[in-house]
Amino acid sequence: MEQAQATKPTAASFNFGREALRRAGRLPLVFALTVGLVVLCLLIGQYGSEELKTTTVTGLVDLIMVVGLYTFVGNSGVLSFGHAGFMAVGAYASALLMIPILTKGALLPALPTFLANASFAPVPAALTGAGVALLLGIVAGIPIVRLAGIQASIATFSFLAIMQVVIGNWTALTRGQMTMTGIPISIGVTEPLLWAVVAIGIAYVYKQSRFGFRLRATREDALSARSLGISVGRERFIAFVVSAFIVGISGYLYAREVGSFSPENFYLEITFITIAMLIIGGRNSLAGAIVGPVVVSVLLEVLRQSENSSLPVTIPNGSRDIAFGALTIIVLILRPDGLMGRRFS
Amino acid sequence: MLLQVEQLAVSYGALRVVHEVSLEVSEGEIVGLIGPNAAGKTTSLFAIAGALKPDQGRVTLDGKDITGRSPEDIVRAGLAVVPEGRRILSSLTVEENLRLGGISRTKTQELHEEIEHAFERFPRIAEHRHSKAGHLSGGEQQLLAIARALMAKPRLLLVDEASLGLSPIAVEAVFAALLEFRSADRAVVVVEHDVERISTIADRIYAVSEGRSRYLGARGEIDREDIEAIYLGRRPEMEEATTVGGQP
Amino acid sequence: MKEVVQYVIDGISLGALDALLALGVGLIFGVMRLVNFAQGAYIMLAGYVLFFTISASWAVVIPLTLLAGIAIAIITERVAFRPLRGADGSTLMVASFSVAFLIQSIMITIEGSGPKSIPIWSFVSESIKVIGLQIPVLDLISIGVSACLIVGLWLFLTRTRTGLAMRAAAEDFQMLRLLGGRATRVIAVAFALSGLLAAIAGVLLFSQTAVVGPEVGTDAVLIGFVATVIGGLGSVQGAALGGFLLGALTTALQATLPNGLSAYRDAFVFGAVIALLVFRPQGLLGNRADAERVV
Repeated sequence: MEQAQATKPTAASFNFGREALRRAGRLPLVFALTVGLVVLCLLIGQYGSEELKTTTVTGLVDLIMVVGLYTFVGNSGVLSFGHAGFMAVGAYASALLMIPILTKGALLPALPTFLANASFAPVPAALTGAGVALLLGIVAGIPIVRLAGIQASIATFSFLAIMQVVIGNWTALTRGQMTMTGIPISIGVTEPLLWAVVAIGIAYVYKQSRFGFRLRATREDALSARSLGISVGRERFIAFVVSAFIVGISGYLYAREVGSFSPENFYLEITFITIAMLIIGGRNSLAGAIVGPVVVSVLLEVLRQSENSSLPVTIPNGSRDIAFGALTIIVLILRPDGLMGRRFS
Repeated sequence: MLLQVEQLAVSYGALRVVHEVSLEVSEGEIVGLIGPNAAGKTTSLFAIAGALKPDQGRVTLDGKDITGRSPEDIVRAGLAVVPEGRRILSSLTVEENLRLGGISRTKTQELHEEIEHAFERFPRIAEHRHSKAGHLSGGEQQLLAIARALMAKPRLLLVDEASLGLSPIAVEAVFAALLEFRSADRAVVVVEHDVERISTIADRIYAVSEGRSRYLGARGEIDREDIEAIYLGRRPEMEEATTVGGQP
Repeated sequence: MKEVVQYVIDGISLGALDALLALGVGLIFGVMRLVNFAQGAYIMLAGYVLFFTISASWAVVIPLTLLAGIAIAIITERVAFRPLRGADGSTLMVASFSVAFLIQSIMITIEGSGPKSIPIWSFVSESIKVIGLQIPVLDLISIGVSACLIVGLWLFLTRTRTGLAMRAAAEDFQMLRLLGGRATRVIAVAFALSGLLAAIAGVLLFSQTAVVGPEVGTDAVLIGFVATVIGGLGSVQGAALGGFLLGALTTALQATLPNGLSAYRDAFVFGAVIALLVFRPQGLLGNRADAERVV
């Protein structure tokens, strides 16, 4: 009698399992996606080829950029063409703090002393770089957030152009059009992955906060939101500044990944790529901001493999960009809310 | 029968605004459409005119099925709209507005003659012929909107809230124009919120409320209580409830 | 004194070019509320056609280049923008950005990303002596061509039926349709015109720079936007005016900025754009209502 009871699964343990599953189903999609991302990247870091690891790092940098972009664009409904400017600032600022002092002296002889002698460890450099981006976000945000939709977007484009000109000409600080180089390269997948989780965390906390909710109310119907006492300008400003910080982090990681860059790396191509990733994933949700870069990176990787003839189908060079451009237009026509659609935020 | 609308259903995105609207308009009559705000009157008009695609239902103009066709085709089939708020192109001159009204016409010479004719018929707007239409008064703009619609030589005119914001004299002029338009082979559908006013020119009246239409009757036959019920939402059951126990 | 006159003529010539760029952008924005980044790609394509055909006589080159501009504009309208009619502003913007990127990528795939120099006809780089000044022939051509185009466009908009429809569409697109105006035709004509303007602007631009590459269109289209914003979004006269003012502003800054800052000239111009958007969003010729409606 007792033995039979010992081997039979009790009602209590059966319910416990069911309860755990139900709880898991109620977890936010973002949480599940992040876990999936972490697992995937750790696996690649452990078993992937060097090439695959590089692609993954690039993908993670893009993902952080897109998550930052979402924080402003997704919550406010205002498209920004200027965020590459924050990426540039994050990259240049953290580079200035990380390049070995001797190299720095040779590359940038005209640097002010406090910068010339500065040598930061990676994490402080990242935070400082992102911090400078945040400050710039405050300055740029003040005029931009009070503008209506299309005009705000044009203003962000102007901001991008201004950053190009300033970075391209402030030679004492940036070497102008010449390549900024000498940044110690970091090859692992772990560091970008950790920062990606941090970025997703910040974006999630923001979007779940009452600031995020208020801003999303203005996205749907600005007039009604205003009548509820929501200050559209202020809410947009907060999102703008937070997004600048996140994008600044992606700039730091970009610098660490490539080791050298110049102003054109932060202009139209990266702007298009990140906007397209957000659109494809779904501009209305953080889940979309995660899914978009992942899906696009995978697709680009597949296309690149076929460009190099390692897959049965060969495609001419440069067709990656063509496919990307065409895909974005198709998504806009057929499913403008992207893969994640409108159901999530 | 000039216009036949059967079981029209229209949505704005996911929100269905018109559930079931049906009406008939014969040549030579003015049909009134009354109802409270947000009942679906304007939405129905827009769906008939092609500015919105109906989810269900059928619209037949002069025997031709025009359901879901583009506004460009529907205008050429003989229907013209005078929308709510007049929607005068204020950056164009009065004459240009009239020219625009005739944009579906093919014979340019006829168009010139029609414009002159319109100025004769509506001398109030002729004075401002070369001024920007935005400078006209409300009443003048309403007349211009009607004259503009007439440039397409329609057989059916859809007029939405033509008396809104106008002085009684202006309203008289507007209604006079509509009465003049009505003739042996033409008709008018007038959306109005002011029941008194519409009763002066409409031959028959429908009511639209909460997205559904109901035929009320010909002028003179209409029940006051019916109209109160439509506007105030009073239902017969509630009438009884207030008198239960004998106390009002 | 001579220098000042020189600068003034430079300013007018540059303004003429900017006005053409602005009109191309402004026409489409007027009828569709679309900020057409692809305008830059139209210009770039015209430049490449110029490059490939330059050895032929100008009677062949010019029409071919203009046709190329019109064709690419109409193709992009049909394929990418018509399905998106009625979409919200940011969707349209991303779409035009994608189209620009797509065309640029196609060009890079076919021709590579390096710049190509165009052996432009020699007479273009000459100057003629007028009242003791050396005035570049190109300046005169630019001003002349632009003036003709602007007048032609004005005549088209005020005297023709389609032009009237376009002005109506810019104010109330739905009303135009309700009156029976053929929306599709109006938009197609707007695109064809902007393609034509892009091609002509391209010819003038590349005659001056003598170089073309996949990215040349971007700067040009930015100028177009800036000028349209200055003049007032949605106003065609505003676009032309904005172009001239922008040319004047750019030349003035070039002339007056101290040496250390002159490289930042463009940054000042864009900064002025942002300031203008904040303090006078309707631009110079738009009215308040336009600014509000753009939300």
